[in-house]
Amino acid sequence: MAPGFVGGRVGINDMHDELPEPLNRVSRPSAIRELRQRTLSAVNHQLAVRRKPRWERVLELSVAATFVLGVGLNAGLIRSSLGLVVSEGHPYGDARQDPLVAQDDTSERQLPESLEASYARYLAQLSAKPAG
Amino acid sequence: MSELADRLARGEPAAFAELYDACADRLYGWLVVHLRSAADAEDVVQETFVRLAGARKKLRRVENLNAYVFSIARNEAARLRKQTSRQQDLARPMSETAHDAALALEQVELVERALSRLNDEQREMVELKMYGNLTLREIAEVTGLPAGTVATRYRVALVKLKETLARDGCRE
Repeated sequence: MAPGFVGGRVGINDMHDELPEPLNRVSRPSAIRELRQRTLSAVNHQLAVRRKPRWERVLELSVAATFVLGVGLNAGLIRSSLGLVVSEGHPYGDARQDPLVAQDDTSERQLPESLEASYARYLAQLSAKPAG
Repeated sequence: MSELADRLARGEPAAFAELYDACADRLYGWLVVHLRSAADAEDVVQETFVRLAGARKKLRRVENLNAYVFSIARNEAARLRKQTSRQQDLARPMSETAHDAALALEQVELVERALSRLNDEQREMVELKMYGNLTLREIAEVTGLPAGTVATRYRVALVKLKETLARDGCRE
């Protein structure tokens, strides 16, 4: 038990008078007048700060949530559209390997056989025609 | 007090002035000693009331406004102490700010010496009681300690103080 503890419940309300005399005689510094004005002015400023009404905060939150949702949905849609374009068999999305793209690639492809034949026939017809 | 709490919660400036007048002197007195700086004490008093105004809706549920104000100030003081960790002589702010010149400087020094022999917890109890003029129940609310612990610490601190003062030749 702590030294000085008086047995039983310690009275917690009426011990103020037990302060040793020199402590009782110590005057408390009192708050200066200027501090009162400064503090109350700061309080009034704080009270004047308009707090947004609840409905306004809810509305703002809803708009923000809708925006985020819209961005998310758009991103999802774009990803799924790309997924349709890129073949499932080509996970790296190499467009040159897509059949549609490959057909359209003329850089590495010779003219079809039928086209060459018809061109030759056309030249033959031209040369067979009598001049004039 | 609950009527005042309602007015505070509604944001009436006059209610804040009333609360200030009711406890600012004691709060400031305690803070000067606690922080060992009159300037810091002023800052904490102001910040405490601004915080109270900012969170005024909560005040409606507060049972003991006095203790609540001190607990906010105690938190603010702890925050400030962390920031600045200023160490100044206790006797200086007391003698500078005390308007009552009846207490001789040597008596202030005597009290300071006696207080300095207490540990931090005991010293806080005495400071809150002596300068904050709080009841032990209020000190328990402010510090978050059980009332029995507060009473024991306070009693032990008083015994130490009395011993120190007696040893230093001060008659009660």
